[in-house]
Amino acid sequence: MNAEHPPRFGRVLLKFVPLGERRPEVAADLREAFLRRAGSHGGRAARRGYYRDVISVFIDTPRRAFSRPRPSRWPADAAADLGYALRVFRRQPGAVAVAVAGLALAIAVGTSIFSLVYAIALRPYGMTDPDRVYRVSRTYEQGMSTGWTYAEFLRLRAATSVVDLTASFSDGVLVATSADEQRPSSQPVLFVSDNYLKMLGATAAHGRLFSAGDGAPGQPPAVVVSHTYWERRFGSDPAIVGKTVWLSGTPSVVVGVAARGIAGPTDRPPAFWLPLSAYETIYRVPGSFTATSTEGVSVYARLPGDITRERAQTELAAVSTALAAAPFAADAAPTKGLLARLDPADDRFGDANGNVAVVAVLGVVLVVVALILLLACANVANLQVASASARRREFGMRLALGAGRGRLVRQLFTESLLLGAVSGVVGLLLLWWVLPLFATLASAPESFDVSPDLRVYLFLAATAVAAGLGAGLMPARLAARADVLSAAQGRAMRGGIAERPSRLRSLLVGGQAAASILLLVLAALLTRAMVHISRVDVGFAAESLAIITPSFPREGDRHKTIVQRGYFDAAIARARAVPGVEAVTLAAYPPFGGVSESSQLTIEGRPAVLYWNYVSPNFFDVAGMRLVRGRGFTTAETAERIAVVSESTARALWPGADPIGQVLDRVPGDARGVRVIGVVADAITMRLTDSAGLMLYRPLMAAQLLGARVMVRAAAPGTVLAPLERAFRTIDPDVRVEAYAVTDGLSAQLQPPRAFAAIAALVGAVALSLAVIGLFGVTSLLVGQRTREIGVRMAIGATIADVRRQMLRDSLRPVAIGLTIGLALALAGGQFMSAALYGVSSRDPLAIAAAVSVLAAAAFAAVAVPVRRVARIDPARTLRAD
Amino acid sequence: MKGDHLGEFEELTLLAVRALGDKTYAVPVQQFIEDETHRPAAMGAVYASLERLERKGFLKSSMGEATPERGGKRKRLYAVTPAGMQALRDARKTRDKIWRTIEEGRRS
Repeated sequence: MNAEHPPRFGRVLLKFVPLGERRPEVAADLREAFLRRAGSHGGRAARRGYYRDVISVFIDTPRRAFSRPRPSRWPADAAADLGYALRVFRRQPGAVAVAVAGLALAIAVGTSIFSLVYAIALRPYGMTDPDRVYRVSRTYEQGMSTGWTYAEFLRLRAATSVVDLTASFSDGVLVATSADEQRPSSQPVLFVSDNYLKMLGATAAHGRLFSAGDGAPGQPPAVVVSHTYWERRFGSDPAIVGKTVWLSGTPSVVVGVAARGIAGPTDRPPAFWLPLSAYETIYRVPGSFTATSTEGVSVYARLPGDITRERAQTELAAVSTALAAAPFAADAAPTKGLLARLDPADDRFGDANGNVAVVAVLGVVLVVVALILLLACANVANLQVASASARRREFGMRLALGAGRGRLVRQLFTESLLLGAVSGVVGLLLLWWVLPLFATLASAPESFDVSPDLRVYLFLAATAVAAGLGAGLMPARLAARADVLSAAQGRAMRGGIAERPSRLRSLLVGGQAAASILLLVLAALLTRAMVHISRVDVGFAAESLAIITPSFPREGDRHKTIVQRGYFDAAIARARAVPGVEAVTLAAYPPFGGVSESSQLTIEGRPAVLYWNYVSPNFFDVAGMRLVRGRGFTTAETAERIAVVSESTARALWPGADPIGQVLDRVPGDARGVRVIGVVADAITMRLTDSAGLMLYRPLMAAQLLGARVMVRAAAPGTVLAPLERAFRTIDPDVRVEAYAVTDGLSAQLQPPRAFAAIAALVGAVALSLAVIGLFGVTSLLVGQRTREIGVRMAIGATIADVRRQMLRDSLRPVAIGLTIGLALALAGGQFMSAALYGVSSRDPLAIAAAVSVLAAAAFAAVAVPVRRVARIDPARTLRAD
Repeated sequence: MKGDHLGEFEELTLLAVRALGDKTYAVPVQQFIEDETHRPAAMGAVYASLERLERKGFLKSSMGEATPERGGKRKRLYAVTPAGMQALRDARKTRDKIWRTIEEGRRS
């Protein structure tokens, strides 16, 4: 956004104001006024003023000021059309109710999907004057990153004079509202420099934001809670200010609640903001965020009103060049070409390279929403086509009395728009019920604000209008072809027109079948992916393992003393004594613990990631990992430079050669290299999607015990967690312990695919029911309208079974055609979603077969029920009736 | 319809046109009113006011030349008519009279 053009949305709005011939003049006036305000009051005030002007032009200006009087009877006509539409609806309440229910459901589901995506990917960051806020990117010769080390940040900040730099560091904590809460929930938090919230332009809804004194050592950390999390977790209680919350066990004082909507430039809106100095206290890491520390922080800057981006950029460039020339002693070589670059803080709608990250996500979402709407619209259109063909006589009469064809078309559109409007209102009511359901299915974190805002309501209104117009389009074409003569004669229209309604209906039914098969295939594929990923063979006994993580107090050297005094020996002994525990081992990075150590390799020109782990000799045994070659470590070898690698590592690094005895020299922190003594079967221990992750295990050395965790094998790991925690606390009450089953870590990774599948299944179910409603309605109508034909055929000898077969064939043909087309589209478009399929092919035969059979069965049922009524047709009576 | 009476905003608009030296258009008028009254004046209100004043015969308008800074769009120029001047003077006279009454009242 810049201050050279009025906001695009405002310009679009202006196009809707009936200005007549004065449009160019008014547009130019408003633009000039905008530029004037932008010059004197800034971009934000100018945009606000522009919107006010547009709206005022719409409201205040008498129509005749802009256009010559026209002999228009538009309002009166519209009122008449509306009244007529209401009377038409009153004649067929059942059909209208079905149409409205379908449309409302589609609108509610579509809007829910939109608001979810909006909340996660599109919601504004809640910054004041966002176009003055920039992210300071760290560019250098090889590339760029968004992260600076904290030490670099401090030096950058000290050296800049025209802008004030801020830093933020994202992490997660367990939030408890009492010291002994059993199941604290994990929430994202943001550690920030004290001016960060001010940089956002944030204000406090209650209490205050950070002040300079909040980082004082010895004080409990001060935290600011986000408005959304405050509403969800603390029930919007203003008395929270001054209360204590426990963040990962550390008592912290809530000093304020941020104003509504403030999230900051992050894709994970934090539940709490904390001063950077609180990091040390909460995670017990001494020396973090000090003048020499290397934590990676994101750096942001707000430009003061009188500083241009160029000016700030020039200064930052000079400062960062100086920084690169004088690196810390620890940095051996200066960073080549280091340059601080100002990028817009909000780059979701176009970054420096013009890439728009959200388009792909939005594309899929909009396609799904459009398909659901299409289904619902087709139902309404069917209703309209049916009644339009039944109303041919009425249209003919109105034509004969002098109504223009345009007037008839408008009448039908008025009816459709009325349906759309009513459905929109019902959809809005449904939304309040459907949206929380979707949010639960997607398990959106509590700090995400999913409550609909103005844009979501606008989206809903737009879909309602689109649905109304879409539904009215086809019937209106039909009305435009109404024919005076045949109607006046009281006969059905002849020739092409008589056939048209049924052809239209076939088209609509086919379209519905195509749309629902697309959505069903999507749902089936995502379900398959979910099942697939949850059944992945991880290659070790994950289901019978539990991990205990001790975290040591860090005052002075206490942690070292505790470990040196044999904490882990005691831990192993106590763990063995817990009933149910079968075996105990130690590892630096236990499976699915969320932490790892890795290095980048290039194997045959392709980059690969090699993960490291440090384990006790009996680790492979306890984890249930099979040694396929060589041997494991012995207890005497804890200081040797030896390693056990996974099968895929061996294959990747030494293809065709015997890995035993090979030396790997690219070892971080150990230039002398390690010798391979054994090979274990592949196991997935980091991410479920990493089927061929390269692993290397080294003996757990005494020096690494500080970060080690205890892993136990038990038949039912869930039952030993609490006894283990209790047993560990008796070793040293100052050491915090936290136990979890490995399957807990695993199921956390199953969450996204589960959410995708659940939402897709819900959408698929809605799509299917809409299609079934449509098909049922059309077939019922068809049977009703063909009563006479059926009567004739039965009179000349056709059996009921013959007629039924014929009817089934006629009704299901468009479904079959639509299904084929939809399937072709699904196969063609499937590759776009392969990322969400976790290795399941987008042409997975089982998923496609399931989707096809569900739709086929549902379609058959929807058709068979009305066709059964053929049996009730009495040939003699239908013939007499004519 | 207020007849020939000048509403407050109309009076401001008329004064603005006069003060801006006639041959002015909507944007400067809006700015003038905003600057003098220190409150936002929406463009729609300005248009409506100008249009009413023209209908009452207090303003006359003509189309100006296209200028490049407006993207080549022409603007509608307004000038106060003699009737408009008279209406302004009348309004002022009324106010002056009332003020005199107030001040005399204070003296006694």
